[in-house]
Amino acid sequence: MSGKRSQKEARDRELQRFFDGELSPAEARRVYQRIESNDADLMRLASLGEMHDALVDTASAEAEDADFSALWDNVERGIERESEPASALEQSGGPPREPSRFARGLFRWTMVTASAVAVAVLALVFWWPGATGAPSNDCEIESLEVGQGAVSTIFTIDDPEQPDATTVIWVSESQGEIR
Amino acid sequence: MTRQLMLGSLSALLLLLGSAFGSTRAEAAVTCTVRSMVGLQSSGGIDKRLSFLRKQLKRPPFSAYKTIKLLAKQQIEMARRASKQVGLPNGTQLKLTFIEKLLIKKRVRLRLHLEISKTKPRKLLTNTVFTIADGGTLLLAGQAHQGGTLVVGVTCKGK
Repeated sequence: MSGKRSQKEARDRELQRFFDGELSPAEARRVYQRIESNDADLMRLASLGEMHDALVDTASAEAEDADFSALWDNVERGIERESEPASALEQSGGPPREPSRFARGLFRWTMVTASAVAVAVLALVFWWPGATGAPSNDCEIESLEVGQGAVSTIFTIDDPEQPDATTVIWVSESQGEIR
Repeated sequence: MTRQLMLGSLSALLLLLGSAFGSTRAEAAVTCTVRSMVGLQSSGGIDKRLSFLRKQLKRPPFSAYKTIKLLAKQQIEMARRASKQVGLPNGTQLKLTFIEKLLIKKRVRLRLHLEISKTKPRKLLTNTVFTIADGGTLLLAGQAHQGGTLVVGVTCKGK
């Protein structure tokens, strides 16, 4: 439900940007094609035109015949601009300039440093024992002997926050001698 | 660009590998902390100095005690194959021998021999060999003391 609404809102925003001439030529062409084949979008665009006219000229607020000529002119200009050669675009102050050599070098070294730091951090997390939290109490009892008559029990205490269980050797009170 | 990226990553990896390799080649030694505690039925809670073991001491078999109090904390340092002995509050002796330091699946583990014995007359009460994670704690309990039960925590960390 909310997904549909957000989708509609996104389309409305796109239409608004289209109307304001803020879209890139490619985007404008895509939206233009969509409007041509979609009555609902055409109606929305019409209402945008009406609102625009009402704001621009309150005297002509009764905009039953919304004037789309300026809008279509905008769209067509945008599409033409896309197909213009680069030099023409540069003259018209079109696309942004290529970053300078210094900026490219700086960007490269920043990327290299950031990658090296990321690798180091990952390696620390995976290799450093205990780096992920509390120290491990993981214990393996290889052999256990208790005095004659005594009883030994090996417990393990599990803790979800610990990486491993904690081992407890419990030797009963009545301990005797081993040998 | 890709070459610089690879060089940067490689140098970071080499630095880490170098430090890890260096630590395994170092002379093996261990520092162990022996904590003597007593578990009692009277109310009092878990000693604040045992906060790092609080979760474990609140679970069975220790959940039966309303109080767990730290009686003594002793630190011993041992080289490989060396032994050290400490006295426990109930008069028994705890002897630790550091057998070796192992590197299993890139993680340090410590192998130790532990003995608890009575001195007069000499009686060996507990004798165990164990392998524990670096910085890990082994708990031993069961001997009667001060109307409760003696609990011994052995925490060892390799150097």
